[in-house]
Amino acid sequence: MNRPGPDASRTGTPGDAGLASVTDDLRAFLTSATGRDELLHLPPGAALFGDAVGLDSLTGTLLLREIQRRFGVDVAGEDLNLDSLATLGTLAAFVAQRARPRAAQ
Amino acid sequence: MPSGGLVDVWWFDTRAVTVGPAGLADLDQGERDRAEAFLFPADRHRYHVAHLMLRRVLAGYTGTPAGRLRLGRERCPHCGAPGKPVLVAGAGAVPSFSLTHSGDMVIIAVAGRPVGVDVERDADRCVCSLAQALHPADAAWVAGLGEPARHEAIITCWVRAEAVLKCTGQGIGHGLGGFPVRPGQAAARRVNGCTVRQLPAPPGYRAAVALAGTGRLTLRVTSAPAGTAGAEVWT
Repeated sequence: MNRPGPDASRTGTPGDAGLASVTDDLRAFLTSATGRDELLHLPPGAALFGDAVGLDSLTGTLLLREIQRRFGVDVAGEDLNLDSLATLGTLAAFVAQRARPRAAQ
Repeated sequence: MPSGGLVDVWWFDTRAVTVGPAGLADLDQGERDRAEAFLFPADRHRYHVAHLMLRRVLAGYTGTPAGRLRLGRERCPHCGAPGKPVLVAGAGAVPSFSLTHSGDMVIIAVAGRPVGVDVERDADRCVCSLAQALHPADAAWVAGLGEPARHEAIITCWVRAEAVLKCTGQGIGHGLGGFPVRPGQAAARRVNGCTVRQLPAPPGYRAAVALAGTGRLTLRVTSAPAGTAGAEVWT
């Protein structure tokens, strides 16, 4: 079967300009929302809401609203299990895959 | 231990607290593992301060040494997932408590019946998008305000709603707009089976406390544990 297409796009691939750009946008937003410069260098594998960074619910909600405004992606509405919120990388991949053409390129 | 409508409120500024090896030894293995998982030292320090101060405050109420207190989690009444942290009953009465932190601030609320507290740092940017998460009545109220008063009002609604959800033990993941939090001139309001009131907060922060039931809510605010006034350095 010809499976690789959708799977590859779901997880993102190295050099995926859309994914890299979304990841940077999310880092920049988190930095400005929290006033914490170190979040500009957040690794993709960092858990956003668990133990790694400790984002609070207010910042998390702001982040999802900003994603909806900027990329047209309703994360909470489209990912009912919220698996995409596991890490910065999974969230960026989810958004990059569904973003409107402007952001997804 | 506070009883009736009395809620003890303990504020800590994480910048004023040093946590040394003796303090860390009072944390349990789960707390130490959790702290180690933070990527950034500032998050780890805040976690250390919040959880060590929680243990020391609760030790003062229970007479059990901080390092011997056992903390567990209640189940969310909505979905059954592990939720509100609680003291596992030992000998004697066990107080209800709630812990919150934001920015440099940590608050611990202690009461004789279920209690919830929330603090949030004022955002550096527009938070109008959060109004959609509020109850429609609260959203309509904040929509009528100009900025920056609207931003402050949104954060005020948020801390009141989150304090109520922490009091009832329902996870915030189920949404916080299920009831209006009705900010206004009254000192205390009945909200969702709780009594909620705004907590005096330092500049740049907003906080609220909620107590189960609909009677009076009296705050007894302290800046440091009894007997340690002026000595906010712990070892």
